[in-house]
Amino acid sequence: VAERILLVEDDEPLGTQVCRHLARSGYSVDWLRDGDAALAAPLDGLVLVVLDLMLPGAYGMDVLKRVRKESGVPVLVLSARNDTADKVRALRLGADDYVTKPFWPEELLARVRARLRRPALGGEERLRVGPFAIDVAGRRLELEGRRCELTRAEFDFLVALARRPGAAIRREDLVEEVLLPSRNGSERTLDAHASRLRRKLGPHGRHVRTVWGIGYRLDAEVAS
Amino acid sequence: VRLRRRLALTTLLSAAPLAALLLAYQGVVRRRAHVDALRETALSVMESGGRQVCEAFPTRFPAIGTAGPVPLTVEDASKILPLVSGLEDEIPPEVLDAVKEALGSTGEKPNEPKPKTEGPETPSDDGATFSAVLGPASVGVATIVDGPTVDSGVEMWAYHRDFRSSNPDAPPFPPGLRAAMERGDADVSDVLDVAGQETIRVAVAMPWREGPASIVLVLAPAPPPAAADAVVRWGLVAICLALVGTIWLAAGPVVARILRLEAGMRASAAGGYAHDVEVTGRDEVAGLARAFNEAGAQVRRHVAKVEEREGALRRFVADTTHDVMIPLTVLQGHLSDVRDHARRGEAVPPDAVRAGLEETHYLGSLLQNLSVVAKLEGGEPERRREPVDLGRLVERVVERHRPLARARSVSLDHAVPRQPLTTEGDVTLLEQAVNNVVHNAVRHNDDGGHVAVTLARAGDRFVLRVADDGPGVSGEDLERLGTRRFRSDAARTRDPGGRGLGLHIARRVAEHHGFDLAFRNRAPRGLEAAIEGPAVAPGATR
Repeated sequence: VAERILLVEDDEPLGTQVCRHLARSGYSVDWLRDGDAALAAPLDGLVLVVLDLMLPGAYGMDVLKRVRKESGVPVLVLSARNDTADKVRALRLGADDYVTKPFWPEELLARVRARLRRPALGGEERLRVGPFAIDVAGRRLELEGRRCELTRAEFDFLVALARRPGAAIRREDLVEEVLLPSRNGSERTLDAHASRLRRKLGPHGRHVRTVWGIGYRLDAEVAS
Repeated sequence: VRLRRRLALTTLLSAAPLAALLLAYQGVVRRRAHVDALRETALSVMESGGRQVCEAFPTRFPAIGTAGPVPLTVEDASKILPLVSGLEDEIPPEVLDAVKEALGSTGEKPNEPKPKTEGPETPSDDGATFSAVLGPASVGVATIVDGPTVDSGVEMWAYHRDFRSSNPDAPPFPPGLRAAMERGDADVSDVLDVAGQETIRVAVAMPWREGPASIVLVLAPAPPPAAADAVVRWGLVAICLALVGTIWLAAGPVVARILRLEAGMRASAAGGYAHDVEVTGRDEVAGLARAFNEAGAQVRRHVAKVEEREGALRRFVADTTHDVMIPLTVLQGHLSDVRDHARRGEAVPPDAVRAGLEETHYLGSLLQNLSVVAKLEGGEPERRREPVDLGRLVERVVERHRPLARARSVSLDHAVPRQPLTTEGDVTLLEQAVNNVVHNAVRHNDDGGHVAVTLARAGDRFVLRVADDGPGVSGEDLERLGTRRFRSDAARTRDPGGRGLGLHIARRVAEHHGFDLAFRNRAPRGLEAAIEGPAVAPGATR
């Protein structure tokens, strides 16, 4: 079942474009063209509201207030104004994020996905990212159902990446998290652990990506 | 002039009732004095012989004789004589002798009643003489024997304790006064108004409280009201007029100063508050002038600020219009190129699409930068201090540049800490600053290059780094990067070197927030920009 997004946007071409991109990404979109309709719209079953602040009829902020009052659904605000007061006000009223016009379709989609990204199920104890099933407490990794033996550092390295799949993690942070301070570890040591981990993961090792200028990342495509 | 008139009128209006009050008070005092005098007269008349006369002639008192010069009978004279026996010293002896002689002619026994003989026994001027004999030492007797009238219009009547008079001619005792006396008052008075003729009635209880002269009623015409007194009347009018005149004269210079100040204010206001009004003296009017000048200065400052902002806005609109036309024209060219290809059924040239996209990106970035410039140049006085989630900010900026980076095959990555990292500032300005630095890194990188944006906490500060592996900047230019003063020309040039306006804005925004912005070259190649500033302690904001 497609996730339903409510779009409140009065501009016809922009609305059409946003609808098309959201629909292409697999969301089902309800599109309302004015604020008064948005004030009355049912909010049940929505996963996200994309709200333009400059609307005919009810002021965008009023719609935002109403949505916040009646539902916990995340709200992404589209703002044509490059005005700090407006943004701050929208965030204060409970908007979760904003995108300033003009924006790229990809930009909007990235913000939508960021809002809908759910934490990995199973909490901290069990992480499931693509083919990786990680029992954090039991320090076990299963790869497509088969147990994979890792050293302590390699396991911690993978957990650090898997906790935030798709996000790049800085080398400095990984050194702190993975290497024991007593061993006087360096970033070079970290890279050695990374290459050994890749080898052990076999074909899935390519999902552990080196990010230029930052560190490492577990591929987002694997996660989704 | 209205103020003056009002002052005078107010004075007059308050002085008139005051004068009336004064008159009324004076009338009361005068009447009281009159009553006191009448009471004293009654007491002194009765004490210095009146009582004896009354007791001797109760039915006739106070008119012992008939009206006018009293023809005393010998009997009467013989009755009176003992009454004044203590006063012989004060009566001229020859007169006394004359009386005694007159009495003596009637026989040896003066005490024995004699049949009254008709007709004057003594010549009429004897009575007058007798009267003269008795006064002034015994004024009571003297006056009383003259008749009920003590002096001009004053009458005196004697009553028993039960308010009954032995004299049938006496008027009935006034019930009002009687009631008051029965309550125990020693003397009472009231005013009887008969046909506009006011009569003061004073009833005095005599200290002896017995006999036919226990109570004396004095009737006297009321004194004329004080207002009837020309001196009083005109005096009061004169005082009132003098007051009004004084106020009128005293208000003159003040009113003149106020009028001068008003004219000055009007002139100043007409001239857009460019000139101050003249301040003379140290009083309230001068204070008003000073206050006006202060207000004028405030207006001037405000107008100057508004004009400055308006100027900035006007320049912004003019610059923007000009600047936007160039990339728009280029974009139109690319689009028509695409259209021509599509029309001919050929494949759309990817270069034209990519260039078109870059132009739109440039357009958006340009407009946002110009708006930030207007904000900074307009001298936005209030410095916004709102919590800014830097992680979100970095994500937004990176997402914004991803299409551009992809078009240039530049890999663009970012890393932000898991815990929110917040600073305080103006989110629009900060986002634009970071945007410019990232834009610079992407735009000036080579195809296939890398850009990395990292955000990290370092103690109680944040460090936001934007690193690239592009060509970097030579040492000398590195120092000057972003320091060039922005002139409107800079925004108009297409900026092929490209590091002008955007980085300048980034530096200005950093300065505005008190953040550090530093550039350094990376080894083996590339440029790294670092923005550092205070971070809000974790958990301080949501």
